[in-house]
Amino acid sequence: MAAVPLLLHSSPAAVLAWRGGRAVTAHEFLGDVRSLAERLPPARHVLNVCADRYRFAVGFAACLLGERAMLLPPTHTPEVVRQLAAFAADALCLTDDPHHDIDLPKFLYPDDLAAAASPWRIPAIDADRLAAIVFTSGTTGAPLPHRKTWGRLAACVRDEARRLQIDDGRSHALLGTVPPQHMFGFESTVLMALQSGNALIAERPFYPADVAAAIAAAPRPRVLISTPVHLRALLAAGLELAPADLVVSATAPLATDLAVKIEQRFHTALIEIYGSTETGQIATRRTAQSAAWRLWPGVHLCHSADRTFALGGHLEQRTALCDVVEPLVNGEFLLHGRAADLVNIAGKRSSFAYLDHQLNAIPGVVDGAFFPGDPRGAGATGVTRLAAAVVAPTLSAAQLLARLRERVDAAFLPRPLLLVERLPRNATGKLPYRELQLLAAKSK
Amino acid sequence: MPARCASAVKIQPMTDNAPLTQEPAPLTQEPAPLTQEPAPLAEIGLQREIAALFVQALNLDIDARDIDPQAPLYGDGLGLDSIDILEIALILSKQYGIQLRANSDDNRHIFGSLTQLARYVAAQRTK
Repeated sequence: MAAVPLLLHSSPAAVLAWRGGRAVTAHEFLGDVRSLAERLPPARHVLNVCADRYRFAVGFAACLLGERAMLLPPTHTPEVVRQLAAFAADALCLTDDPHHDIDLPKFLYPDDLAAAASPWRIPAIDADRLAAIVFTSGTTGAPLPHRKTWGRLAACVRDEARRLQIDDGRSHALLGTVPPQHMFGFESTVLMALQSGNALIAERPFYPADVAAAIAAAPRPRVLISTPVHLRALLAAGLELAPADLVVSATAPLATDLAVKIEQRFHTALIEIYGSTETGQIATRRTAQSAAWRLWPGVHLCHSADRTFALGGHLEQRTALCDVVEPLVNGEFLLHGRAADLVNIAGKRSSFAYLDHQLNAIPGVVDGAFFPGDPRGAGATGVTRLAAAVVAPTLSAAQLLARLRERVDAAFLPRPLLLVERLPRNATGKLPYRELQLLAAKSK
Repeated sequence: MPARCASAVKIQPMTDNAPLTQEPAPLTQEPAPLTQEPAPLAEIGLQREIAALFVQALNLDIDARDIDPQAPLYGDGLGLDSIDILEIALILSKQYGIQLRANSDDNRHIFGSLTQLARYVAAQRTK
């Protein structure tokens, strides 16, 4: 069986992470990983919620060495955590926050991992080993698992580093505004650092002023790995921005004008990545110059029954895309929005079927449906919220929101939430979008 | 702008706040201290101004006058999430010239209530 090394750093002194401005070497990292792997309880499934990206990376690698699969659900609401526990009865939560209230057996990331001196030896791990189980919200109310093997994850991000041209032997500092628990953050800030000999930055800045300061403090060459929401906020804050050597964006398509502005402000290229939880990353484009996406080497698309599938390369099997795709000659393609049922709010993904299922499962809800909100209500971050119309005579809006908050991620909470006597269903029981929009307009 | 990243060894609590992750913990850990004294008129004016900005920018389904000045802005109170917090950061920067930072000690109090936020704005505003 083929084995893939855990990391590609060329020497024990190579920098693998920056943490509080301090360089953490590949040798130190391996010491931490081995030490944590020995201490982790024997669970086969680990929910890694470490907020510090370095600790997350140590947690992931320790799981991999110990043949534990890391669980990556789309959100951590009590309902989803219950579903994870039902999926894997031995699920353990690895956290670096003693106050974390996730309802699973907890293992606190040890503060004293200081590794005993060990020889410099990079572990090689079976390519077929199950490394992570990533969940999408699915359509039936239960999260759908997608199993990722180490070899395929590694192959995907090695292609990414090559495509981003950061595999040139220099140590690039990877600064992410996305959490490592998100598929894009996991691939581009954690796995790619390991598999391209680069260095991840442990901190994750949130406020625009923090992002600007973190960029200026990062050693060069430095790469900003972000999302349209974070990038839009960064530009809107009107701050001085130090140059970056590359900007990478994913989770939702970036408008061309925003891409052009970002390239001007950072004096560098902005590369957008296209991928999904199901496929991993499969294409890039330089948005300021081209609308067309270039596929990963070896990956190609095929079309069948109105759907588009990706196959080849790091993909284990033919995998359906969640978007409407227009193929171009030469293997490139254009994106024309999401498949009808899918929802993407600030990079968080769900489906109307899942959200409706969760809404209607609340005791007291007679009927209810989510629908897209009015994009004219989008704020400076460009985010448009969902709306919902609900028949629940015994519940107040506040009670309903509190119940819903237990079940779905806060990003999907409806705004407005319309309490109505009945939903405007047509003769076939369907809810015409126009009728729902009229309902929302009337409530203003 | 000082390069804070270089000195901040500890991951600051508010960095949990990005829109792509679970709810940040610190804002719900400490209940907002109750304000005892009645607020002066100027403060109430600023509170109302900020409340109106929020309702408009965040597309909130509530009348600005109905926001309880003592209720937490986050979580179960006004129900704001991390995307809203980012929107608010932009409002404060545009309207009052304030750049919020995660590693400010004031930070966890700012979102404790509209009253506390208005006091912070009154003290820190540059425009």
